[in-house]
Amino acid sequence: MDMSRYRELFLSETREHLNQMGRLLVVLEQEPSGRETIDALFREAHSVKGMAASMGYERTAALAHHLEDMLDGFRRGGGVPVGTIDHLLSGLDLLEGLLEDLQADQPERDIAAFLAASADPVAPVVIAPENANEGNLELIDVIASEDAEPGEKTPATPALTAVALQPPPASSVFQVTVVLTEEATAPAARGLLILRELERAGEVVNATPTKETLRQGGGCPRVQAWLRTVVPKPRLEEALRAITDVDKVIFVDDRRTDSSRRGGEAGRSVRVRTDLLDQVVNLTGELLTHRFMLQRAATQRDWNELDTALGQTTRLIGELHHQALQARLVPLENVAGRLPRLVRDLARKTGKQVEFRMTGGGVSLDRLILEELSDPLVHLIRNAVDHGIEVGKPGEVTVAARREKDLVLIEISDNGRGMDPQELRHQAVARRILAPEQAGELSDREALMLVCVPGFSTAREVTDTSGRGVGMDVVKSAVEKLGGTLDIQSAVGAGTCFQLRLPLSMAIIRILLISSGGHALAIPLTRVQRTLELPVEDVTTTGFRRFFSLGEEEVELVALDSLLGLAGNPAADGLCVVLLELPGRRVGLQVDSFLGQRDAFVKNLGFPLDRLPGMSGATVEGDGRVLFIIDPHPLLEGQTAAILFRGKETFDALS
Amino acid sequence: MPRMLLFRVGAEQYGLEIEAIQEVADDPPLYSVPQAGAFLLGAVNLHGRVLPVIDLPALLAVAAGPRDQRLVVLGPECHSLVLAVSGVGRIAAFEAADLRLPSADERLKVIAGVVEIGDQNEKVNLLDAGAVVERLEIIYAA
Repeated sequence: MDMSRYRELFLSETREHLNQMGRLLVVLEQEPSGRETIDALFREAHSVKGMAASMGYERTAALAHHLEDMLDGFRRGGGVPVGTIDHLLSGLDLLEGLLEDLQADQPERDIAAFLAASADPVAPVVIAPENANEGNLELIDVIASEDAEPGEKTPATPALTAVALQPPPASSVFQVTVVLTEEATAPAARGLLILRELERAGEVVNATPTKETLRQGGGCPRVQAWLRTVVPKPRLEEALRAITDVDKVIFVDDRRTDSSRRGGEAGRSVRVRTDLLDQVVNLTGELLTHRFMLQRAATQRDWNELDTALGQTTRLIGELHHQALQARLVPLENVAGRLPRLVRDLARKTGKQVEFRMTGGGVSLDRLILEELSDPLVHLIRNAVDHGIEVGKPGEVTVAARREKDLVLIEISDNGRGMDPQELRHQAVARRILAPEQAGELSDREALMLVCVPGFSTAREVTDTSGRGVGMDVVKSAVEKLGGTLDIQSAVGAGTCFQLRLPLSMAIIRILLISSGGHALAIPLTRVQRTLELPVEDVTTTGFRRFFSLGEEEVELVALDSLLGLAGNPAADGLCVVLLELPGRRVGLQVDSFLGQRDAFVKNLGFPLDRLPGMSGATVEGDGRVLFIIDPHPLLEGQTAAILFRGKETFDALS
Repeated sequence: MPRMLLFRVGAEQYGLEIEAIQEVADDPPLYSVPQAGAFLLGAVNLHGRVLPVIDLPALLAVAAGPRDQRLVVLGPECHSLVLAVSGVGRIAAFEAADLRLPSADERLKVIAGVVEIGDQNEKVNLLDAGAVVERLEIIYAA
């Protein structure tokens, strides 16, 4: 039994707490005597401490404990002294560092320097918390006296020892959890007693907290351990209950199967609200009942009954599906929580005056999408403060999220200097990314997207005049990897707005099934504006490019089979066209035929399938057939990239 | 003694240490992959996972002949790549000390070394699974 199964859960939960602390500290800085804020901070630190201690992460627990003590001191002192916020924030950073160590399976980094700095009068801790050490002292007393006279402090256990000496029946392995009452004084000492009791009964494996943690006073309200023993459970329970302050004793048998032990794809964990889990369990129960109804109707050949049961089962499956998806959704604020802190730090560093606002933090997305979104968000905000906001003017950075049909729209905007499309065109030419005539052809919107071309700008040279292409290519590809799109709007002097459109959930998407070049393929429906059938004579040809009219608009027609390098099928009298909306333009994608649409569970593809352009995943049909999901955007942009690249070549040849 | 699975690539005898192998799949349906290129034969659905099938003769630049319907599935540390080979053979033990490092010419074959096994001193190229991945990484570099 190893704790690593719980590590992911610990890390994700603790990160949420740290995010929250970061946000609260920024609030506290504005309002240093906010009692409620201090209280909330204290609770967060306390939770981190408890979780870290129960995992046996000693330094993390010690640091959280230290912060908790400091906060407790401020609470009594009625406020936070000036300058201490920075110290608390650096403590928070250190905690984040510790989490990184744990994630990387490294030993926890040293925290002594931080602890020492707290004692330093330069970073004044207002009142030395008088009682903070009391508990520890008492604990040490208990432990000391215990170690001195081991025989005397072991009440109600001779029975156990006696049993262990009898000819041993087959030993069993199980997990035992001993929960202390809330009023337990010196829980660490009780914990040690419990462990000693367990050791007396058999072989203890992987105790949490460990003895060492307990010795150092890292108490926690429960002790959990795996035990190999011959002692019957009732006996053991009796012995454990004899210890003062023991509230509950819980046994769990070792039921792990080989497959769960292997857990090849493990590592990701999602926290689920219990009411949601209950609903899923209830629905599954109902499904079981309906299965019997179906069976009975089938044996009796009662078609009416079969019809009813089938209808109900369908409804239940739909509901179950919905609830299961809900379980993966997490509110945006879970990752956005650290943004206020980020803006504060950046503002301070750049000497700018920046206010941060956020709306729609409650909008939920799939946990995986949120995780992947975290870095791009930080990137965009950093850019907004660094390059958008101007010195000496009141700046504002806003993150606004809202649902838009099946998508979530996240807008990151600033009221800074904005970007000038004309200036960007000049830069593209100056950097030999585009030939002058190509640059001239770009619409303003396309020109703004130039900042996402890899290597378009290196911050220093461009930012002061117009651009902000620092890592924007990375942001764009991250968003697209998630099946989303990035759009930029900007007006000189009025600011810039980055729009991220993302699917709510990546695991299950609605797909359009098509056939192209003899292959059945799928396109995510979020990419599709609509489908249409076009008479061949409506297509006009200009050079190598084909167009058709859609209202007032001339839309380019591109054949999917040629994009994918598949053998083309001669078109009949009508063309099947999938209308796509790319940022700033529409494209008609010609396919052989439409095969319908449906929901599909997306399987991520491993190397090297994930390297193929436009390949965004696969789904497995009911009969086991594999259907690849194609994202046409990168394929169509590949075309643009090819043009850009050719442009550069011609340019190089010319110069 | 370490053991390996023997298989043919074209006319040559190859082996792969069984630790690197997850399973040998018997003729799972092969699905074609758009834009696959020369080295990707397609994909298979193995226990619900969609895995790439690598054309090993093509990757080793060996003349293509008929392939074995059985496929060699590598472990997760090698991205669970599935290898199509010319013929899957038996499992054989070999002496690690007998392994001769590849000569400069042989290095093109993506092998860890050459070893002789059995009474007939059959020559076997011990495939280097990690190097297969590395070579693919170069081919499919973004």
